[in-house]
Amino acid sequence: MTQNSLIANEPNELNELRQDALQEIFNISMGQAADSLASLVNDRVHLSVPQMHWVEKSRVQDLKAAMKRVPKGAIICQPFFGYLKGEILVCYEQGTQYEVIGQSLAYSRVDTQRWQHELLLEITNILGGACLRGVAEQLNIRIDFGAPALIDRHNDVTAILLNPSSVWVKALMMEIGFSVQTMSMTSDILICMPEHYIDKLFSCIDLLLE
Amino acid sequence: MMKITVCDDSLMSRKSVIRALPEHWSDEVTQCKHGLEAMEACRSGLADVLFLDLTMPIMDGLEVLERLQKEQLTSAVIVISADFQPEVQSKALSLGALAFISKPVSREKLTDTLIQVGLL
Repeated sequence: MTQNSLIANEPNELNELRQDALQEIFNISMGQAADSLASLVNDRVHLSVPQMHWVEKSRVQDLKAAMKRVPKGAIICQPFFGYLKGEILVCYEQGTQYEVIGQSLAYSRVDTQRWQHELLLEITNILGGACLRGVAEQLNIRIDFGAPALIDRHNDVTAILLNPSSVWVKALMMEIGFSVQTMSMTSDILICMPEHYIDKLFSCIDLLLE
Repeated sequence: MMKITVCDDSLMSRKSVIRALPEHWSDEVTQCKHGLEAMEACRSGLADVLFLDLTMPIMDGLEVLERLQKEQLTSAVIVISADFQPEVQSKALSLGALAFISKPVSREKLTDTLIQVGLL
């Protein structure tokens, strides 16, 4: 079979290959996650292409500069562990209308208002959970999830990374923006994986690239 | 034998499509990284079948579908996309894609689709 390539300078560095693979794996997983949320809210969920950042805790400002936008709002954190370990951080900007998702999840109107943060936890579970489950499936590994928790009602997502309780020095951050028009929802997901687990992650990816 | 073009900005995804192709079905595979290159491949007769991603830099998949129609190019297009929400699927099909496959692609999925649209 003849193979043509119209691509100049195909990346042949292992790191570029890994980066491409990792980005695509997250892309695929986010697509699956968005589809689950879309069927729940009956509207299109718009996603940004996942952006990858290497972040040192002492230089979180660099992350802030590199991010497409730095959202500010309610922040939910969901830990994951198993073969890989890290945290999913979701920042929900103010102004979201929760009625649609409340209805889909069988909350009454009053409950929807009263339990707004509960709803955010549900959405985090759906999106973050589905995304990492997709990653685990593609990499053929096991990932388990802790319960999502509201860690700040109104803050900038990068400020959370400086929280003294999160123990890491250097980490890989995957940044994905998503929005749902009917809910006026704009949010950002940061998936944070400490350096220590990246080798394990890459060894799974290398198997896929063989 | 078919001339195939695989257009996706991710090398891993292009590889997984090529790996999933039925054996002895194609004798020439061209790889493209964005829509503009895919248009070039179609114009040069390198794409009896075009496997097309949607979200790409420079020119996305939906624009490729529009342009193929405008230029009356006859490549059979199968969209392979990570975004497979109903709205996107119907948009791609209305622009002339023969079928829509959600990523990750597998040999089984691809073969079933090719049979379904009569390409295999």
